[in-house]
Amino acid sequence: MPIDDAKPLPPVPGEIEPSMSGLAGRAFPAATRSAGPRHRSAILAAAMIVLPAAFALGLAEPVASYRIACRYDDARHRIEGTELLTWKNTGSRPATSLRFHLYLNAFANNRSSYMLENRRRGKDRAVGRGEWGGITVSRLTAASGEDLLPGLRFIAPDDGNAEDRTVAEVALPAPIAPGETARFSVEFVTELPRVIDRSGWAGEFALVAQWFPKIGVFSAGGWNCHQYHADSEFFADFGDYDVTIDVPRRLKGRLGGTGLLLEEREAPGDRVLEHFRAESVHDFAWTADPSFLVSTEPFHEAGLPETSITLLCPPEHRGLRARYFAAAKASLSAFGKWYGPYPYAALTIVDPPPNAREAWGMEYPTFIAGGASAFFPAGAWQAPESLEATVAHEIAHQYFYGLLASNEFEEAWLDEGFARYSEVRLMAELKGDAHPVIPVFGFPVELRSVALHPPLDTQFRTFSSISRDPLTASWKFETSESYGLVYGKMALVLASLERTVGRAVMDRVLLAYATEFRFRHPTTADFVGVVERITGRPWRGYFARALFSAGVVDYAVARADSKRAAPPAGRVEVAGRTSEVEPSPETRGGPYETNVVIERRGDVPLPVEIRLQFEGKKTYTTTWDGEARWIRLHVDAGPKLVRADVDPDGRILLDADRNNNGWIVRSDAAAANLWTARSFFWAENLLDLFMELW
Amino acid sequence: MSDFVRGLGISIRRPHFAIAIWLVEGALAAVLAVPLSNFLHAELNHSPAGPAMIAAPNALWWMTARKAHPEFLGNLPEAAASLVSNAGAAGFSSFTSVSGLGAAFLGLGLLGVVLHAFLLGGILGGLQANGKDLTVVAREGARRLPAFLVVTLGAGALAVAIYHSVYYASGQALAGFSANLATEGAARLLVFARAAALIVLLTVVKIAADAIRIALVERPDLPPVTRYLVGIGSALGRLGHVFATLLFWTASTVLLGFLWSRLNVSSAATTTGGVVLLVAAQQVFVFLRAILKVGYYAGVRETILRPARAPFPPPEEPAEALA
Repeated sequence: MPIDDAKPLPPVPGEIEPSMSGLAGRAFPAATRSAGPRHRSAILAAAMIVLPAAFALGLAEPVASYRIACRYDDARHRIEGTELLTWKNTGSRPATSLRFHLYLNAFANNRSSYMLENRRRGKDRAVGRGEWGGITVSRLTAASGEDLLPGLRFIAPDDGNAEDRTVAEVALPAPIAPGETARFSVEFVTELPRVIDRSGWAGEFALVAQWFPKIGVFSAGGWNCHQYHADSEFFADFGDYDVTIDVPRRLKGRLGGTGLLLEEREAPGDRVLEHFRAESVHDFAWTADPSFLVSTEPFHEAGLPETSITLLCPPEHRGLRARYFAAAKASLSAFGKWYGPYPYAALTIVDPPPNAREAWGMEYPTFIAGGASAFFPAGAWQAPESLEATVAHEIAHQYFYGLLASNEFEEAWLDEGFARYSEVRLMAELKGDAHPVIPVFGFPVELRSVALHPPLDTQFRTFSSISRDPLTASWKFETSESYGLVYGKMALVLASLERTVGRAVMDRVLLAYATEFRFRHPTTADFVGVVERITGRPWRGYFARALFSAGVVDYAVARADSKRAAPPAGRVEVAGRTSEVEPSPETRGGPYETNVVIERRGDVPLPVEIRLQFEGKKTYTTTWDGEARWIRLHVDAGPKLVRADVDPDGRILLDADRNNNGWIVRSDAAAANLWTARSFFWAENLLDLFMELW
Repeated sequence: MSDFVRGLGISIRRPHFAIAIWLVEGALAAVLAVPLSNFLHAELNHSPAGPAMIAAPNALWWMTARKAHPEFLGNLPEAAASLVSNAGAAGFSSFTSVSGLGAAFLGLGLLGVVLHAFLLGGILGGLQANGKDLTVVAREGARRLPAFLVVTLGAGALAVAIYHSVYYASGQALAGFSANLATEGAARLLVFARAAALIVLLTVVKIAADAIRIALVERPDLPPVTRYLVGIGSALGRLGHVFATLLFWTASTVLLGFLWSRLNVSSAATTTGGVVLLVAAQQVFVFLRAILKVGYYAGVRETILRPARAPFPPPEEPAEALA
């Protein structure tokens, strides 16, 4: 189905109203369509009251826009399509070539960098016959009609793997000058893999992502176009997408994806054309399954724009729909306040079936993949299988990925870390304590008597991430587990920052960052700059140590004691005469001599607060820069010490062992006795069970 | 149920059997008590977390302690959980990273298996000899240990083989099929079927092993191999009754545990005196559980030996051949 590459892109529906800021008008294309002028103004005014800065910068300037027409053969899991790419050189130098992502070639064979990286990490991906995928470019022409395909060659800028075909480069007949816009027509054939990672088919289900030839990002440094790796996501420029998908009639109404479904039109051969449109996004993905239950609910909240939420789920998950919608609405509400309004009119959620677990929990612009078990308890929100936490996490990505399009290859912590922080903060506010789950013969049993108190349990959840691996580019981590640092370490750094500067200041920081860098490609330096500006303090050193250091943070009170100050003894001078004084017994009521030793047991020095609490509710608080390995606090004569704490308010959530952060001078064995008794009892019962098994 | 009740009556009238079990389990667990207590006192006595661990125990403390002291248990909890996971545990390799108290627990478990064989010999021999004190348990247990150990180890080996070949191997064989099931219900049904098959087969092994133990005690007149066959035959002959006795024992033990959890006795142990009372209550629980256990063995013995329907007649000269 070729498209006319000479035909200009149609105007954006409901676009730009002269009386408004054009930028704001585009921010809510569907809201402006569905609402009358008065209502629309009210929405926008309310949104601007909440977040005036959000609209000052406006929507993205389209850099890479696509018009795609394709035909989906669901029996062969094959897509034949044509795309018209309109690309603007926003770099500072001419572009002499183009680079394209051909991501699905990661699943073409076992020689791709994705497959090799997984294999080297001991995670062989089993792919059966007929389950491989790939993408082939069959035609590539410039607007002038010149055939560029002969010049297309595969490159591997990250690892030099000559057999990896996920990035292609094509030389241009003439350079594209900075600021210049060029058009290209591409014909491609995509064969979906059985879902191996994120994208593909499983039975009749399909999640179609990274499925079309997609141009890289051209900046001052040249092309930024990374290969598809085992542990990395994506990076692209904003643009407008107009996508028409020709599908069998049985998929009518059973599709969802990025943007708005504008039209469903009958097509010859018992087929249907599904026409989607999305503005100011940087990717397009869609899903289809003839068995999907499709439900839609609006999200309304004063001060926030209306959003239509569509859920596509398997029939057996009909009982989960209310939970999905509740989680989505809570997320849109909270994040709308924290990070500015969600600017799109639609949000689509797909709940992939259990045989497509590899597609669970993924974000695309205005479209997320959830993933849930009907049996998994709602109270266990700290587990990765939690429906609510997954929805919150992926909707957080609508900001930290969707709107703030950081380079996920090079600085993955900027999307995953912020999303994890947002998810845990929201879930803690919504649900309070979580409970652990033990799977017994596949059935999750919730231990309701055991509490995982947030937010400190954020630390537990990500504890294993506190490894000695430094943060680095996504494909350079030793293992997938160490890649987990991009989630956990950044979330802990953000939570620690929040506890240090206070929730109100943190909210200002996040709002400023999320609004100022909307529709841009922020970096870590951008975020740190915002933190420094809002707080008025230097933070570069903190981030360098807390985030980028390869070490562990651990402070401990090694010892704290307080005893009666010893009276003078030995040869002492009294009234000008030196004489030997006999040691005298301790006098009642005398002052106490106090010694407290604080140790830095980890490698990373961070400024930390130390608090000594004395009898009579007297406290002494000081800050230690943590540079030395230990520090002794000594009081010659004073009240008796009650307890000593390092980081008493738990601000440094990166602390690997918070159990050793305090010391109560007066020993109390009650807890140890209780748990000894309990443990003894459990041991008796477990041994009985063990013995009886034979 | 009547056989179980009858066995329970015997167990209550002869509490020395339950006392023997209680003493053995207490002695085994006591090996862990000192290092465990030392660890807890070192971690909690001066810790601000200490008071919180009484009022509102936080799992974070425990998880942090495990991360900070990986040598304390090793991966025992994870290895144990893997046994009942969806896929199942591959074998002993899951337990190779167990260390510290975790390893000690496994060692005590193995010692417990031997002592369990000893106790069963003592209980079943004591029931036959009609002894009324602990010395009978000790004497009969020692006399029958070799034969009972063979049964215990044989049943254990069979149980491991069943677990591996039925639960674990089926999980491996069906992994691809299971991953392609389009509905969660079907996938769960598959796991349930595997687990049910495992439990049924383990129950059969348990019933057969107990019947063999009874035959070993009650039919010393028969050649050794015949005793095994007679034991299995007797279990098959009264399978429904034996199974019912096993079921009532299991149910009553679960009910006892449920009552314990509902009473939440631990919550009162906030002082040293409270801890003493807690320990006393715990030991009462362990003793009652032992009473139920003896009730089961006495009940099964009653079931199998009941004259009217006994699959084999009692020996003419009981026990003398072994004396």
